[in-house]
Amino acid sequence: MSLPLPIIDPKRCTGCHRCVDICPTRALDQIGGKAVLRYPDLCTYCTACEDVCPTDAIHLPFAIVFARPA
Amino acid sequence: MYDVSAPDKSKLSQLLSGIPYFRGQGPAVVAALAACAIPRTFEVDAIIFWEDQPATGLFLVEEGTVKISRISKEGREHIMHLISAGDTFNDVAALDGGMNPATATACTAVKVWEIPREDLRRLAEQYPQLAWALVESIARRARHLVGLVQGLALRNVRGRLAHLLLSEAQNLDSDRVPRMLTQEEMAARVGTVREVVGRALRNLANDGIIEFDRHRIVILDPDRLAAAAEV
Repeated sequence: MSLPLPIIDPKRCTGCHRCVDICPTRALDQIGGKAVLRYPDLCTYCTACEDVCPTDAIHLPFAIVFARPA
Repeated sequence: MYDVSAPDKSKLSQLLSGIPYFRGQGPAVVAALAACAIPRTFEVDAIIFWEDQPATGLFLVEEGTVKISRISKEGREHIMHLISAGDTFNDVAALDGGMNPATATACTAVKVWEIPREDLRRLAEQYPQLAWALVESIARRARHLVGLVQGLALRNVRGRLAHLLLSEAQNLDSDRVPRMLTQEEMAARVGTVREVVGRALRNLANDGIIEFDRHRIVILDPDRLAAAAEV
């Protein structure tokens, strides 16, 4: 099963470039004036892009689980 | 809105028999309900009905998850309930004939059955055991809302978030409505904004109660999380 990735809503994205600038691994890029996750393998799920987005266009879904004892 | 791909009506009697307050109603009641139920299907994110619009009836979920929420004038959402297969929604408005108390949105592709208010009323008059079952359903809804009010009035955001994390992890463990939540959705569930949820999650992580494991929020210390959730 592939890992979940940030969800970017192109209708909300204004192309302000903040998420692209702040992404620590350069996984995000801007294409056609909209943010896109160009290199999904580089995404570390750090939530910096979600925190910096001024229009709530980026969301990262989390699964909430109990730690399993070894 | 009728849909050619609407769910097969032959499944309805089985579905109705599995719903808590239709269970034990007897085949006559189930058959009468099935006869007047209207099948409807909705795509993900479709609005099933808006708050403050006239209610049309009681809804039963056959498949998928439905979000029941209120939306402020500023567009801020508070999620009151997530309804999964085998459960009902809009009971209050279907019974009192008032406006829909909240907005219902399809979280996934959804198949529902609608029992029009007039049919529900006629059947409740005809079958007293159905009327009593509806009263019990309303009582359960009231109990749920008391829990929500208690959380909003007596818990801080950290406590409400701790309560949400525990209940979601338990749902995932029991395979009941296992869903992935964004911080925006968590905020809508606990009555705050995303930035506050982000800070509260980081505080819980700094305290060693949870940890972030990429796309997973792992509960390391359920006892301390439960203590944070206590009123």
